[in-house]
Amino acid sequence: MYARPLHEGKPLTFAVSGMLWKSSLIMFDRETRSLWSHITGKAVAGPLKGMRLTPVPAVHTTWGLWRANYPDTVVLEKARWSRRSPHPFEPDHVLGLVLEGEVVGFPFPELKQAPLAHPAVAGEPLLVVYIEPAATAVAFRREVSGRVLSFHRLARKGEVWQMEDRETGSAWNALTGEALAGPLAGAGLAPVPATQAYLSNWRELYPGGRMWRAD
Amino acid sequence: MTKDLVLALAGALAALAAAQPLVLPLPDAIDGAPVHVAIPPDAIRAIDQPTFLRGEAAARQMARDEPVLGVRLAGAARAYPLGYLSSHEIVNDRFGDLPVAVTW
Repeated sequence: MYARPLHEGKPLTFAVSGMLWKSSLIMFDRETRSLWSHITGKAVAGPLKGMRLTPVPAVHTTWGLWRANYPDTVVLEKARWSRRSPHPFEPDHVLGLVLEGEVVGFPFPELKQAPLAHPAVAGEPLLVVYIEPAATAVAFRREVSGRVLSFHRLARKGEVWQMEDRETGSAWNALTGEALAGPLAGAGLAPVPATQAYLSNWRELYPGGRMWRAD
Repeated sequence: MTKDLVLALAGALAALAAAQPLVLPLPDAIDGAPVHVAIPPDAIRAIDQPTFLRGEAAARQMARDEPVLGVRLAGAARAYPLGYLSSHEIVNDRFGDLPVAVTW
């Protein structure tokens, strides 16, 4: 998901070009007819070639888990003809992120072994949370007010998932990164924009990228 | 010219413009990897005017374990069903002052 930049005072609108590149669909913008990769967020042809879109955090998750965390959420209305979606979960999925040029993929089978992962990416301490039953992975920065936290005790509490930090024992919402109780109640972990993709697609787009492994 | 005539001409021109086929640049390759044309532009139609359901209507449309893309921005929480998104690929939406493209 990306912010749509302004072009001559108006936001670009994106559409489907119908072209395939590295097994992914290419977008175009209606205003300049430049071509864009929706996975890298970069314009690859046309007048805006080279421009990068700013990613915005979005979470691949299930409706049930999302609504449990955001009871007031709305949902995009589907056209009447559309069918129900298939079940989540995907052993061939990866959470991919690019931070300051460093590319790292977190394959779901690896996250399954370490569902609270603490990788460093571009020198920054991150947290990757994996909630298997909802096929959901999210990434956060784990430095809060100058202090680097570490997390354990990921568990389902009713309809939501929680975790604790070792440093203060505060309880956190594992999906939203908000501290719910304890000394850090009210604090929040900053989300890092990331994409969920098929492992094969991610490798094709970033052949030199690092794949994270659980220790 | 009368205002009605101007409006009618504007409408006719808009219809003509809409009927023109869209022409996009077609590179042979990008970063050394080939580009293939699978379908014409807009054969998969992006959503430009998304509408949303809330409360009971939202719950009726969705299954509990149905995959969604969840976004929380500018005080609003929205879910975009992924199966449905794969039929449209892109939703051009806006959260407050921030225009966004939700892509799958």
